[in-house]
Amino acid sequence: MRNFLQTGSLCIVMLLALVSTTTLIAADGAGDVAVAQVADWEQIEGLASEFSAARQADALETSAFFGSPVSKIAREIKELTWWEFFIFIPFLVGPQIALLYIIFRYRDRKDGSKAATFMANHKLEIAWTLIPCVILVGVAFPGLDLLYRMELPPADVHADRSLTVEVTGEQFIWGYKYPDQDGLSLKSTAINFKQFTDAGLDVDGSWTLQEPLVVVNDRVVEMRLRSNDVIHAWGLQAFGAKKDCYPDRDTHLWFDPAVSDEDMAAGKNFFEGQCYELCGWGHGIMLISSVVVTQDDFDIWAELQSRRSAASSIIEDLVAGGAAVETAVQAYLEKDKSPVAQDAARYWLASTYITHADFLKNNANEAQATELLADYKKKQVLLDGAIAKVMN
Amino acid sequence: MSTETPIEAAPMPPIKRHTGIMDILTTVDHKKIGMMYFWTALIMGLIGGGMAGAIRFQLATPGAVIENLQAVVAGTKTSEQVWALFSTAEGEKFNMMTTMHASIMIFAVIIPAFAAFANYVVPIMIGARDMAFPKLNAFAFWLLIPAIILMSGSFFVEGGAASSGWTAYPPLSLQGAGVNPGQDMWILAVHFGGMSSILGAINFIVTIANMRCKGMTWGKLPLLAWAVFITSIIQLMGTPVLGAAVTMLLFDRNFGTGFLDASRGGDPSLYQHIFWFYSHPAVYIMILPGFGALSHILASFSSKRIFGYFAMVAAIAAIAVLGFMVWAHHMFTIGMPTWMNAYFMVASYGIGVPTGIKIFSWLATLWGGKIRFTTPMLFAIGAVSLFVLGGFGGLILATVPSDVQLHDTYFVVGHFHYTLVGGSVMIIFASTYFWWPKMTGRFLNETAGKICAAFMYFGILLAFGTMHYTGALGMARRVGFYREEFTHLNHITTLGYTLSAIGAVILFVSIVVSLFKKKNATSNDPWEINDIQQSFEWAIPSPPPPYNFETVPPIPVVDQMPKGH
Repeated sequence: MRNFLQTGSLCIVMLLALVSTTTLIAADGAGDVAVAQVADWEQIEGLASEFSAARQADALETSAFFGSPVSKIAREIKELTWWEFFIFIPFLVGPQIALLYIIFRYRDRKDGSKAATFMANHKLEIAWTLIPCVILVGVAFPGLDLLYRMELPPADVHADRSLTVEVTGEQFIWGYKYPDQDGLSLKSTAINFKQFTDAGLDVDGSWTLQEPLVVVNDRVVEMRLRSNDVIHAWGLQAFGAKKDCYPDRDTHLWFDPAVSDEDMAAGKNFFEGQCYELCGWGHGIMLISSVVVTQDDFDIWAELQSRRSAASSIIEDLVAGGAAVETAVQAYLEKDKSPVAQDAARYWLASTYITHADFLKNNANEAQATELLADYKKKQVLLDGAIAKVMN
Repeated sequence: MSTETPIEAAPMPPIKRHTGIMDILTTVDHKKIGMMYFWTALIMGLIGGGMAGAIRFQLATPGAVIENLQAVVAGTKTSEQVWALFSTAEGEKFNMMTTMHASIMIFAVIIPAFAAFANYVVPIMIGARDMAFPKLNAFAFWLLIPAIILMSGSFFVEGGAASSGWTAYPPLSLQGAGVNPGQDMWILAVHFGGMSSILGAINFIVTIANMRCKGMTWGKLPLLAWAVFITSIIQLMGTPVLGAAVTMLLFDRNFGTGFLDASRGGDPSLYQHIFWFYSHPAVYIMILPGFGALSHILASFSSKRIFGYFAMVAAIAAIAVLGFMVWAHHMFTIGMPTWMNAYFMVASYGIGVPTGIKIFSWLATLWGGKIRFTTPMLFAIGAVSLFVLGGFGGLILATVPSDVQLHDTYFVVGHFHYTLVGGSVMIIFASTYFWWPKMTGRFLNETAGKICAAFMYFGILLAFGTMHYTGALGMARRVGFYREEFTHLNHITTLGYTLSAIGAVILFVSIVVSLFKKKNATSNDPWEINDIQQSFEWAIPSPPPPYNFETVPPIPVVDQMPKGH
């Protein structure tokens, strides 16, 4: 895992170095910045959009349920279920057709004829006992085979290759922790408009969006699930994953997200699930979202997430007007003045605004979105200025 | 044909009976108690069905995670208005509805409805003048009343009724302990209902084992009696286990024990194992008597005897035995060891074999007959058709990998409603139309009955068939709000509910209307079936007199299987 962190960090550094040498300053009114920008706003905004919780609205159209699985294991489950469906369909349709035929053929024609008097046919009875037995035993084997393969990830998946996530359910929030990413953790709830309304912006709503679980394409995810209160069930059909969370013991789950390159390119990498065990009044709104990204993007995301809480005071200040932004940036950059740290601050600004603007756009509220983005442009300038000042 | 001569009846003891309300309160006559069970089930059925209506009309619109979000963003609703829709109180009310709909339908409708027919018909069928313990029989019925009062009354206490699902999984069902008594009232109601079940079961076992008339050997016992006998054994073995599970809940909630409370070292999954050890067999408690009744109705109106009598009895017994061995297929996602999942998967498949025997035998019963499409027959044919569909969903759900995708989705809801509404309720309707002339001396309106059958069949087909599809797309059960992509499917389900609700109302109205009609089924054998069926209940007056028989048996006991086979 350390290898990956190192490789990941190296990737970021190289990427940012490349960007910093080729990119000129993009932000308006930031001409007096003495230190070269390390990544341009466009790139940062691209990242912010990719991880945006507002993509929940896109997922409604692209959401892949039982019908279109995106993990290998979910594909196998789907194949098995269809296969069974076709084996069982004669037992579903056969009796219906037989029933229709019999009640038509043997309807009482009032012609004085007598009904048959047979009451048993041992050969027939033995046949319809044994044949279903044989069929059911036959059907059981592929099911059992898949069941045993679902127990643990395939043996050729080296432990280093899997991504461990600790899932915590509580009424009505999901918590995710990545123990191998320096204990990186996030709560899948909590993005709301309140900070904007408090800042005097005309954005209505106390609505929350689910922050997505970020996983890596073609990399097995191993989950440890636990609950803080009642039983929940983490379920995402596209991944073929569902497992209960208990307050007294860990449960385990794995899946192998495998989104095709075309779908990744088309942005069809956002998926939705929900809690599948009655957990109280908010059970129906205990939703789950997940985004599948490349390893490089994941590493960048992890790096940015690790600086999230440190950067939060800057973002709060900026949203509220940006009066004390220099002090906040000063405090933030005190420990680490690296380009990565600077980009993280800018990422979180972009993420906060873009998530909400996207959400407003998705819900046909262009006016508020425009207002929000106009505000965002001003805040970009403020942040860039403050960073430049501190760096000098 | 049996050649035993009928034995003379002992003279009736002259008993002065009360009349009116005192008669209802004090009667120990199995027929009157059967009717009391019937009326209880009918009234509770309207209430429980009404609750299903409340659920369906909440779900007729997405309730709307997304729709309301859009309304907020577009400014047509304030966030406060929308939040109120999803607030604690509203979410709780929806959960109360699903919880109490299930609890009432199981404990106060389907089980009592079959108890009604079992009480009324089985003693007559076996040539007995009453149950073995008539007073116990009355006591078992009267225990049901506090259960119903506790369940219905819990809506009016602080915090409302139980809202943790009819499964009442802890730790959710432990929340609100000491503050909201609704869950405790539910537990006590289950205790009362359970005691009623146990006492009723003991009574049926003793009655069927000991009260059969001369010549009524086990091999000649009518299938309904066999089904009730085996069901009673399941009840006797299973219900105390349910009692243990809910008693642990009660103690954890009120007396500080820690059986199931994880924060006190308890194990929530222990409850699930104990609960399903009863509650899986409970689904057979709700269908096996129906299987028995269905056989009689299908045979009666195709003018044939039941096909494969011994196989039918063996299949009921096999379902009962296997029913106790598959409980954990309700728990495939709780993180059991894989070998346990594998065992429960294969064992659950096993249930398909005896069920298949029954389906095929019913088809063979119809084969070669002269089928009369009376109302009970239409319901019976519909029940066979719908039960096959329900069984199909069961096979898919028994497969663990498929179940992982479908667990706790609407697919499960669709599956068990096909078996419980398409199976049990359709058979209860069939039995009502079939035995009502015997029980009251009055026919229910046949034309209305046929319309009712059509509404029920197509309503059930539509409502629960659609649910399978909704579930396969991933809509979770027990949610009051859903993503708008499921809207159209839920509209169809609600339409299906409405159709079957119309059917249920037609039955209720027919029953009420029939009470004001003159007795028009005065012959002993109003359906003209007994030449072939040779069953005792059609050989005595309609309605039967007190103590049923002047001579026992009234007609010779027939062989269920002719010699030479």
